[in-house]
Amino acid sequence: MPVGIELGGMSRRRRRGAITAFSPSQLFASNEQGLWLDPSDTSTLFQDSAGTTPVTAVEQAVGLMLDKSKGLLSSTNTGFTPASGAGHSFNTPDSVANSITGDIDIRWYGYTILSAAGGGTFCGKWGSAGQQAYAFDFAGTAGALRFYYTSDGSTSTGRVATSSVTPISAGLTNNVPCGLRATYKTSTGEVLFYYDKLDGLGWVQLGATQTITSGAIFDTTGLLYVNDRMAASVSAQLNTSRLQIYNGINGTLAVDFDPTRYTGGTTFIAATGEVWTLTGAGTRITPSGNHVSASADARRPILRARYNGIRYTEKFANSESLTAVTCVNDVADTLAPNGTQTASRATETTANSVHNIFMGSTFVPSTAGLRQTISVYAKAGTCPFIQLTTAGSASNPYANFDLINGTVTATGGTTVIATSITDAGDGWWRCVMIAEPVIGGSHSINMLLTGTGARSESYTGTSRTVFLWGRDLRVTNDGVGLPEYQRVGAVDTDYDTVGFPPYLAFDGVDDCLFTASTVNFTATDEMTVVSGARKLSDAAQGALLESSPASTNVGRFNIFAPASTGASGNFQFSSRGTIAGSSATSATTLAPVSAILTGRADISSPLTELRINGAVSATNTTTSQGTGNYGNYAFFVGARNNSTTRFNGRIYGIIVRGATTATPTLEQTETWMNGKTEAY
Amino acid sequence: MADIFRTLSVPAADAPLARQIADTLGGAGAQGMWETPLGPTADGPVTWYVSSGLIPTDFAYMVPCTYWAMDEDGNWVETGYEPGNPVAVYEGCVAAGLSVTQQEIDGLFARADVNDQDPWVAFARMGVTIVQMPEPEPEPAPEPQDFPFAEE
Repeated sequence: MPVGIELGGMSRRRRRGAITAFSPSQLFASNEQGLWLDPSDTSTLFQDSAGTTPVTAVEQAVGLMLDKSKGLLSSTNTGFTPASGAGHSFNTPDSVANSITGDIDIRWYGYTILSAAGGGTFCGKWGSAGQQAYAFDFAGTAGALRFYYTSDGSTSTGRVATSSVTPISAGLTNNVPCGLRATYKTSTGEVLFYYDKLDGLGWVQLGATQTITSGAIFDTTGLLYVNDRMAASVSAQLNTSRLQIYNGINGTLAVDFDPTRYTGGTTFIAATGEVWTLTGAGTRITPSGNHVSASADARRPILRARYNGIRYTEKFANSESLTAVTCVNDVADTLAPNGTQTASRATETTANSVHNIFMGSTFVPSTAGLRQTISVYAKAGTCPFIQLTTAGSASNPYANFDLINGTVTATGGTTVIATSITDAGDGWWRCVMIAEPVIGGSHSINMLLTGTGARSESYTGTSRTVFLWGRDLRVTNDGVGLPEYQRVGAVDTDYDTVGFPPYLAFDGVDDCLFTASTVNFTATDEMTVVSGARKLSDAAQGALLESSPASTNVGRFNIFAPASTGASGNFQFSSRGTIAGSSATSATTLAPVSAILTGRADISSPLTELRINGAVSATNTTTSQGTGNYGNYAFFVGARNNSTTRFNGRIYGIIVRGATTATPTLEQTETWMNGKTEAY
Repeated sequence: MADIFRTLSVPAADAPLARQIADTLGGAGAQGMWETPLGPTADGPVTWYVSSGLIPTDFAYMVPCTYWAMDEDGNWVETGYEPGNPVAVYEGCVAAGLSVTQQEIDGLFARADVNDQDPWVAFARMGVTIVQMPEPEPEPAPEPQDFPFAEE
């Protein structure tokens, strides 16, 4: 069932075929304490710390990120749902869609006291006699599910199916999010009940198939209720996070009660079109979990999927580019490589001897020696040559491209790593230079008089033209297998996201998310941490995650990126029991760099192990961590205690499991995390 | 309306007033601003305090903002300036009972460095970095727990 928006990162995983049935939820199947934070699942992200405003797009602040380790997998988001008890429900008018008379498939998600006598009603279209159609509840034998219907609006005798076992006896737990389902086949009278523990394994049949009197379902004109079957009839001790009714078993989704669409007032409109109206009181549900939040605006990280460092990637005439040539956008002369009228035409001016189109970027740092990939689609007009170069030093690298013959005609400067020119069709060529500038600076596309022209060749303009489109500048190691071009518009909030893994951008200045309550790890002295991250700077220590407010606290663990700074920039996983802890520290790994960082620790062994990208980087089995278990502290992401040691970089995901994890499962987890990060 | 990204630095001496104004006008979301110290080196001295991130539009429009671009030689060039609304800030503070003068707010705005740059780009332009502060004191040790893997 699709929930929220899963941004980016999918196309490559499909190509690899590396995705298996593994889900991180399996790491928490035995109620292991921990966290699973997944920025790619926007259904878990909210702009405010109270969870009232969902994150709907990139470049929005994240004030609350829900922990998925406690069963948020399908749909248990914060949302507005009827309060528990009789008289609190949502209803929607009779419609063709909800007047299902044939096979029906009802799926409920939420949490409740499954063992409660009297239970509650998930949904019902069940008015007074003569207006009774169907209902799904567990209001009968304590905890057993029921589905019932009439064919004439009144007669339910022989048409009540009760599950042979209860969800509790099947292993579900009171007040833990789950899914429950009933299907009814009109031709045979067969009713099947199912449960879903939201562990990634999907629906499991609950008990035996029940057979009741077969027949079509009555077409009533009454309302359809959620958390009730008719107005104020049955006590509904439910927290419903989703209810879906399908016309046909596994048929067409006809009704979709999704309270995350509620934004205020007493009504909301479902994705399937029906209007839901609240009767009685509502309540905002926040599922259990170690959610992390930030109440202060500026301290919230930003959901982002930006990789291309420059703006106006298809508008070469703009207010930012300090160009010496004349550019016109969206010309009719030629279509862009993607078939749209979005190409720009650059024309040399005769007024000066400089013929560049400036490509400034504050997103890609102007760091000397930083390996960058600079690319642009170009098509010859009357000018057959262009040059890509880096500004700031006459010694900086450049590469010349022949747009008629599709060749790289010259390179120079310090240091060109690689170049390429690739046929993009219809006379277009994708020109690429990978380089490490001797001095950081901005970049330029230069028009050239000859294919062997010098860097920033000076000559009197001849009014020649070249067509340009789709320029891209990114740090070369920023993701593996990502699309080679990312469109960026006039502002930093306007860019394409498909294929680009989303992340939380922590600014290293004041951003931090942390749990409002403590996370109790006192039942274990073993720990597993898997995170996908990109370290952007080694200038200062950065706490990627930490399990307590201070490194000196008994029973804490953390990952630092970096621990050592400057030219010694690295990664470190650290753990301690009752005495000063042990660390596993990587070799120098300078920023910017993406990595899957895994920590495994065992206080008593002692063991502290750091894995990077699926391979052991450092192991410490000699330094004692003392005794005891891990502690019961607030958990911090992106800083120490929301006050110091702020992480400057990106987080693609964090999984913390208060238990040891066998290597095969750990490798699956790392592969899963890399699918979100594309680090290697 | 969508929030707006800003990097807001104020001289250290102005930080208490800036915090008071933010607390007064910005509501809960503006609590805890300007607590990250900046200085010429990581060891200090503290010369500025900074906050950076998405802030509400009405807040952003009240404060000044300078726009920068780097020229081909790597030099920062000021490309635009918005003065904010210091009069509205003063009136709002007075109405909320904060004792402040228009002159103090004008001075704060004039000395502040507010922009839409990535904070680290702004730091490089300003010639500052984050001053590293000492780690907080440890919390008391948790109560002893039964060791779950003790030998039987």
